[in-house]
Amino acid sequence: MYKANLSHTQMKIYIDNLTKKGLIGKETGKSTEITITKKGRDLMIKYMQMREFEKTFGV
Amino acid sequence: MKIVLTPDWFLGKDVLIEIFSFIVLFIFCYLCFKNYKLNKNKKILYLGIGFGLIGLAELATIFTKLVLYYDNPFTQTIGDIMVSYDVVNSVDIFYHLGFFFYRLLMLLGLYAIYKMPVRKGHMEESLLTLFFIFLLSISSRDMSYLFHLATLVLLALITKNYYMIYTENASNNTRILVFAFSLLCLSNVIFIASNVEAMFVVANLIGLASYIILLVLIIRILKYGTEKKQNRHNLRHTGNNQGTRG
Repeated sequence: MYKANLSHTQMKIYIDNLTKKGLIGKETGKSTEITITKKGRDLMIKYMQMREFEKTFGV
Repeated sequence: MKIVLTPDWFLGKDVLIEIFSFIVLFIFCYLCFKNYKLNKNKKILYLGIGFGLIGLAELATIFTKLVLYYDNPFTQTIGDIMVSYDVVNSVDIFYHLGFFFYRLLMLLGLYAIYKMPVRKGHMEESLLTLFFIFLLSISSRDMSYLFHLATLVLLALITKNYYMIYTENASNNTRILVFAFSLLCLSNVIFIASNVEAMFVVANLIGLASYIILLVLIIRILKYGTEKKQNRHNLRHTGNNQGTRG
């Protein structure tokens, strides 16, 4: 949260948003664990490829 | 008049090189449009259009050469039965039209790639350039060196642009890109001087090498997302393969 420079309120909004879109999932046990879903991971891979593509071509 | 400079033993092989080039260009075009769908960055769209146009240029020359090389019986029959000059002339028109589209699409594609990172110019300036490209595509029919010279100038400008980008980002992939475009420049220098058939083959082979390098670049970009970054972020995902690497 602090590394991402987010307040708790902002973080909650983002987490709710990402959960609704199925990009992350909450696992509730003794404590709540937030994990990335397969869909989220695939999107992240696509995003990183896109960033690398943009960097290569300077766009 | 000899329409293509390809030596007899190289006939067909040059088409294979062009098919390979087309596939590489098509993949680049596909990647650009896929990225554009994700981030709506218009520069990527123009880059995709550029690669797409060059790919279509390759397609135009592939079809024209296939007809030229492998449709001999039809042409022969025309010769045997002494069909009127008009028919033979129409076959000629087909070849010239095919190569005209090759030249036009190639120059347009290179211009789009060159123009992409450069700051926006005046509309009139672009229209004037497009007019000259059209004019050059027509006038270089019998003087192929003119076309290769124009291609060389555009490729040199694109290489310069990418070199400037490389000095800023110091990315290995951009360095590969600069190297691939430099090789394409070299192949065009040889094309200009390719009165000797052997030189034409050498130019084609250097062109092939540059497209192989571009394919390697595509693989590196696609691998980047699946290997390097994933480990760095130590990602986990829910599902059956939780905690594993894909």
